[in-house]
This record gives sequence, C-alpha cells and structure tokens, in this order.
Amino acid sequence: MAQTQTGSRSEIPMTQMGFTQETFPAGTHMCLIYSQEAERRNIIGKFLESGLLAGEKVAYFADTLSPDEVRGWLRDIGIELPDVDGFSISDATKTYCSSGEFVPETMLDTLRKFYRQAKEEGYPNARVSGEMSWALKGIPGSDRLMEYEALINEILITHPVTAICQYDASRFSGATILDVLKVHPMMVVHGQIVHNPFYMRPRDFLKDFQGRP
Amino acid sequence: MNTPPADTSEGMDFRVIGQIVSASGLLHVFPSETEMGNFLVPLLTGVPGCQSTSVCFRKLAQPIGGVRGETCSLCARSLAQCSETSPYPCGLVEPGKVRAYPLETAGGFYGHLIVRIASQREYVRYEPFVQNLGNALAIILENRWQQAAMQAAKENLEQLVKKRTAELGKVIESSRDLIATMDSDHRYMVFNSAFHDEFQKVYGRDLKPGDSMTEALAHVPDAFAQSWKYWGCALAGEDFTICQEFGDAPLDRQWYELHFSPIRDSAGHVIGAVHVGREITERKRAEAEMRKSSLEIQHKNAELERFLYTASHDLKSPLVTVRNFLGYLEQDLAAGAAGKIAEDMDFILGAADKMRRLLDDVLELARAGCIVAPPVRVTFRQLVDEVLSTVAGRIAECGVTVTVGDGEVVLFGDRVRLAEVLQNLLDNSCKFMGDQPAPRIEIGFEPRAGETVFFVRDNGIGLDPRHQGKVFGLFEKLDPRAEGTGIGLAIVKRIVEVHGGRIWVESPGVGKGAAFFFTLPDAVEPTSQGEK
Repeated sequence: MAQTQTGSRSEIPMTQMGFTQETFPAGTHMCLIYSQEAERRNIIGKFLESGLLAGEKVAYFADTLSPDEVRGWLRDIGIELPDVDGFSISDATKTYCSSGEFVPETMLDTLRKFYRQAKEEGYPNARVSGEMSWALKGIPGSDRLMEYEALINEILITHPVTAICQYDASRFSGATILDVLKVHPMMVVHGQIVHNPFYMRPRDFLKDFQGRP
Repeated sequence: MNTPPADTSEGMDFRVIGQIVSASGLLHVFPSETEMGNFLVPLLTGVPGCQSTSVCFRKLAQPIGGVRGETCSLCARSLAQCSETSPYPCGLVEPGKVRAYPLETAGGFYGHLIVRIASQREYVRYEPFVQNLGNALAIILENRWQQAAMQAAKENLEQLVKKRTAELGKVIESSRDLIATMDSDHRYMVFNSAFHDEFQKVYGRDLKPGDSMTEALAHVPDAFAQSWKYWGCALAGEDFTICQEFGDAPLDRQWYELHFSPIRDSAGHVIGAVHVGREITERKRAEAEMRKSSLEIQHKNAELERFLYTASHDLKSPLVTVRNFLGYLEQDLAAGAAGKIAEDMDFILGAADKMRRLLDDVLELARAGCIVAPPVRVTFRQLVDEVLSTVAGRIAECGVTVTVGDGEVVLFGDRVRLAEVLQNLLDNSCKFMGDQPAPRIEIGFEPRAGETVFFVRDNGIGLDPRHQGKVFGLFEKLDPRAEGTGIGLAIVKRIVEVHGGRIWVESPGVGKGAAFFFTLPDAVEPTSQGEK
C-alpha cells in the first residue's frame, strides 16, 4: 500500500468504501442523507467494516444509539468488531461539543489529531462517521455546523480522513439539507457515491452563508 | 435556406442542471411535504432567470416559498376554489412572468410548482428541467398518497377484522355449545371455554390454541381414532351431524349432538373445519319419556275404548230390562194383576241393583288407576298375612288350604292397592274352585329372568288356554253364572300396571287349576329382590 504523506493530494491512496465497488481517495468527504434507518445501517455498517478490514483507524460518533447499541446493531448485520484500539465508538455530542458548546475550530483540531495519531500508530488510513442529529439539540454553537462542514474540506486535503456525515431527512429541515449538500463534495445516493453538483468551495459557501439575512 | 437551430445549450450552467437532476433523486428522502418544499424553494430560486419560487401542496393550507399576492391567488384563497384540473392556478395573472407547473399525474393533482421569472431569456433554458423536477415530485407524491391510502385502508380493514373477530369471539365464548375449529394440519385453532373445559374434564389436557390433535389425544388412542375420523371427514369437505354417548358409568353417561363442517376460503378450498357439540342428554331423556308416555296413552286409549264399549253394553242390558218390565207393569196395573205387578217390580229392582253394582265397579276400576296412599315399605309376607286375615271367612267357607312360599321380598308402594291385588286373586281362586274336593291355593314369588314374579296358584276349575287373554277384560266373565260383575281381574290388572308391572295367567286346561303371575318392578326394592 502506498505510503501517505500530508500536504499533497497526488500522494493520497485510494480506499474501499464497502458499500460500493468503486474506490475513492482517502479523505473523501461525503454526506448520507437518509430517511430509512435500515438503509443507513446497511451503508454505514459496510463502511466501518471495510475500514477495519483494510486495517484503518476507525471512529464512530453515535447520537441516536449508545455505543453498546451500535455494537449490537453491527453484530446483528454480521459485522464482528475486533476489540482493538483501532476502532472506537464515542458519544457524538461529547465528541463534537467537548466543552459543552460546539466550536468548529476545536473539532477540526480533533480531526487533525485523530489523523496524526493514526499515522503515528502505523495505520494506513483513518475514517470516521458521525450521526449529525446532535446538532438539533440546541447546544450553543451548533448553528455553526455548516461552517465546520465547509472548513473540514480544507482540513481533509492535508489530513485525509475519509468521512461520512449522516443527516436524517426526517429531522433536519429541507433548507438545511440543501446547505448540507453544498458543503459535501460527494454524496451517497441510493447506495452510490456521486459527485455533488450542489457543492460549493468552502470560501464561496461561507461567503454566501455568512451573508444571509 | 434553412436557418440552423439555435444552440440551446449555449450559455447554460450545467452545474445547475446537475443540481436540478440530482434533486429529483433526493426528494424521496424527505418524509414531509413541507421539507420537500423547504428544499426545493431555495434550490429553484437559484436557477438562473428565476426571481422567486413557491410550492403549493394541496394537502397543505399554506404554500411554501416566495411567490405571493397578485400572482397566485391559490396562495390567498382556499384550495377548494382552485380547479384541480387546471394547468394553472386560478387567478394567476401576469402570464409570461410567472410559470405554474401542475404537480399532476394520471392518478391525481397534488399542487403547483410556481416560478416568478426575472429573465425569460435565461430561465427558458432550464425550464424543461424544472418541469421534469415537478413531474418527479408529482410521482413521489402520488406514490406516497397511494401508500397512505393503502395503509389507511389496511388499518381500517385490520380494525374491522379485529372488531369482527372480537364480536365473533364473544358470541362463541357466550355459547354453551362446545365450539372449536381445526386447521388442515389437525391443530386446534379457536375454541371457547365450554370446549376447553369439557376437553380438560374428559381428556385431562389443558388445550391451547395451536395444539396438535395428535399430541393432545395421544394418551387416549380410542378417542384419538374417533376424533381423527370425524375431523378428517370435515377436512375432506363433509358436513355432517352425529349423536354420540360419552362417559363410562351409567349415571355419568351423556349424549352429545356433534356437528362438523368444513371451513372454506374464497376459492372454495377447505382450509379447516369447525365443530359444534351440544349436550342433549336431557333432550334424549325427554324423547324417551315421550315415547313411553305416547305408548301408555295409546294403550290407555285402547283400554278406554274397550271400557266405554263394555260399560255401555253392560249398562244397556239392565236398562232394557227396566224398560221392558215398566211396559209389563203398565199392562198388569191396567189388568189389576196384583201377583204379576210384584213380579214386575222385582225384575225392575233387580235390574236397578245390577246397574248400581256395575256403576260401583266402574268407579272402583277408575280409582284403581290412581295411587291413593303414599308409598310405604312392607314385606310380601306382611301383605299376604294382612290379606289372608281379611278373606279368612271366605277361605273357611270354601274350605281352601292356603300355603305361602318361603323367602321374603320388601315392597315399596301403595299398601292398600297392593293388598287389593292379592285379595282379588285369592277371591277369584276361591270363586273358581268348582267341585274340587281338596281346594288349595299357593301364594309366593320366584325369580324369573332377573325379576321377581309373584303368583297365586290354585287347583280349581282352570281355564281353556284360548280364553286366557280375556280374563282381565272389563266385566268379562267366562262363566256367566259366576257371581260378581267380572271387574275384579280388570282392577288387579290396572293396579299391577300402575306399579309398572304386568300380569298373566297360566293354566294347563279346564279342570287343571290356574296360576296368576304378576310383577311389580316399581314396588320391589332392588336390594331385596329374589331373596329366598
């Protein structure tokens, strides 16, 4: 497997996503907009499994389920998770809002550290997936979520953590979903990863976003 | 020269087209129409040449988006005022500046996608894609409405089935009949408490829905074989009713009427069977009683007919005598024949006496059919002694030797009537001793074919076997010279029958004595039967 160094996209290796045959560069930032729980579990389960099979460092940020329930769900669909340091399940709210409020810069730093740690520990790649419904709990700073989602695209260039952000269309408003589409270069539609025509460069999005009344 | 068609793709932003096309694929993830609208309005407003957008859903009271007021009265008026088939909302003005795309399929109309155009020149390039997006939205809405309608229909149906099932359950449960259904795999499916409790009582099994008959009756092979046969016939399509007796001890035996019929699906295929069992022991008893009563009534009617005939015939005879001698009396009075007058009067009085005796006897016979005293316990020996003391004078007069057999039997009945039987028979034997130099009467009882048969046997004149059936008839006298009216044996017969018994006479022939036999099944105490 090609060795990865930060700072140059051309050196970034390709990685499997588990739920599709195509390979994508490590550090792909995707959104999964869903309304069917079974569909979500199927895609995310395979995504996590393929990362573990590839020996990547994998982290899951759970919101609707407890870490134990996530392990149970994965076991139910036939995914046995090794009890190793390479896989962690943490509470999404605690992860994204470690100080009790959401500060995009802090979370971006957490991601950078996660990637660096993975490399230091010898993992070829790192991947994460988070349930984003924590942002609907009224936690201070959660209105900056889109700002974070835009900025992460720049972080992932130098710290290519493959990420799927999960948005439940039955809980987020249609307008928010449109914004979600604007900050993820790739999206998962019907189990396929497609380039997102809504995607805007982070600075363009932020300019538009911050200029709204 | 033909002008080449304008290149419509010139100046188009394919990213926008990609967004519109992608939106078609994303709409399905929004569970609510409101969020579909919230997603579409900013998206379409971003289409080049578009100033503002609204989505009006029929189901929603208010439109979503920014096209308002003078352009679309659909937004301001009630939706009922908007033609459901119109390609444009009613009241829409400024054609050319506003496009309203109906969200419509062959199955229905769901609302409008409304776009206020800022630049016709720019917008026209994207219009087909917007129209397609509207079509995709309409198809999603139609699918959802159909699913919702199907779900509602399903829920209604389920509610109805639940309600009907509950009602049927109550009806089945409230029945005293033993009701059960069985599926084609011989499993008990639905049954009421009556069936469950009886099953438990008879077979000792706590039956549960879904239990297999093979297992539930494995411990009672005979019952299993029978049940398998009956249910099997019903599962094969037969509809039938049988009556069957259950229980071992005679007193516990119960009659059941069992009805089996197949249960069929809408195509007529047998999918199970139903059993309705009804306890009919009382009905069976009543039917038997009725049959017995009917025979008794027939018998009594015949007897009454004979009685009426005989009584009227025999009563007529002295009346004729009276009438005739009244005529003679009239003549003799006119002739002044004093001797003849007294003779006439004697005949008339004699005939009147005979009539009185006949009428007394008729009354006595009628009384013999009734139990006059409550039943008491008395031994046969006691009864015989009592009767012998009553007729001692007659026996002594006739010089008859009476012997009483050994053994004892206890009787429980109308003591006066039972004594009357023996008294009449003794009297009858004395009366028909004839010239017997050593008249003898023997009284006793003996077991015959499981019953106690009483007898009064004499060595008197006996009777012709041809006449043995006539002796018990009313006013029947084989010897016209014999004393009495001939009612004694008729009374005996009536009393014996009232006690459930029968009476008959046996005689080897004239001059060879006779023996009267009778039974009293209702009066003989079972424990004392045949004690010798």
